[in-house]
Amino acid sequence: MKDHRQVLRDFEAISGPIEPYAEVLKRYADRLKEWDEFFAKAFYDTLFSYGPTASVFREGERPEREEALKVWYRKVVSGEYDDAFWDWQFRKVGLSHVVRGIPNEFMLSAMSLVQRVFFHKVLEAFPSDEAVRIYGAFKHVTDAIATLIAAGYMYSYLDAVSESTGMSLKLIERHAILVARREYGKD
Amino acid sequence: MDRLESLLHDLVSRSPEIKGAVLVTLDGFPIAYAPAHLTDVERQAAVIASLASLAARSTKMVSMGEPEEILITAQDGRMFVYHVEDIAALGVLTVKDITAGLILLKIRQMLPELMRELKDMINVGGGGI
Repeated sequence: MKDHRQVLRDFEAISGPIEPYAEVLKRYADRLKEWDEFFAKAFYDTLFSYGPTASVFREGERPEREEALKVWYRKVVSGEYDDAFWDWQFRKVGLSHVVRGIPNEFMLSAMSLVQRVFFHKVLEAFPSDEAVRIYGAFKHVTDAIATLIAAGYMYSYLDAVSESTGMSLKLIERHAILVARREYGKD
Repeated sequence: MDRLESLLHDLVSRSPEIKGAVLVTLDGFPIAYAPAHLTDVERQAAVIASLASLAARSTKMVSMGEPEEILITAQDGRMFVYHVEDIAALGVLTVKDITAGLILLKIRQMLPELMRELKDMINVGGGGI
């Protein structure tokens, strides 16, 4: 399995370094953290109003999930990221999605919701040039997180298939290539 | 025709009940096969490697050691799969109505030679298939 550092290196090489954006968020962190309550409500109002995402949760679980999201949000807008933070996104969040049966398309859609809610909030609260700068920083960092979660989810799946069937990752990849070639009519 | 293909060709041509034989890497790539007109070899190779892997994982899970051979009997034929040490897997396809013991004997007689050739090929090739 690739580790989170490699995934992050790939992300930064392709999309740009995270540090400058983290610095932007740090400057505004105190104000941005105040929106945690608003964020958690907007996020879970949407997820609980759509059957397939609502069914992922246990009854009475919402307060616990909202608290967890608030912690995550405050951490993201703090701009303070250490190795454990990225590893947590990659391994723990990715694995928890596997355990709950939350596919990547749900996660990516939810991350898009987070970014859109933040965009509207930041436009209301700041002059437009600052809002664009803050949103750009938030988007870059949350894109990195979505990349890590998606990769963690996929590699967890592949590791599980490899572990339970004895098939090497290269053999699984071989099957994927053969099926893809057939689907695209190149075989 | 290289030596590996020649061995498989001999096996198939001397036994009309054998329809095909495919030697594959454990990553699912074909190394050699017979007869030459065998179709869909790439996908067969990936499936043979998967069966060999699954068998090894299954027997390990129930503490039975390494599998020696896998036999699948289907409506229209049989498939034998062998682990060729930790290097490769061999799949042999036959008609259904066969004397399994006789086929097994032919395959087992060929396996030591196949293994030698495979190791020679790896040594000549510098370690990787």
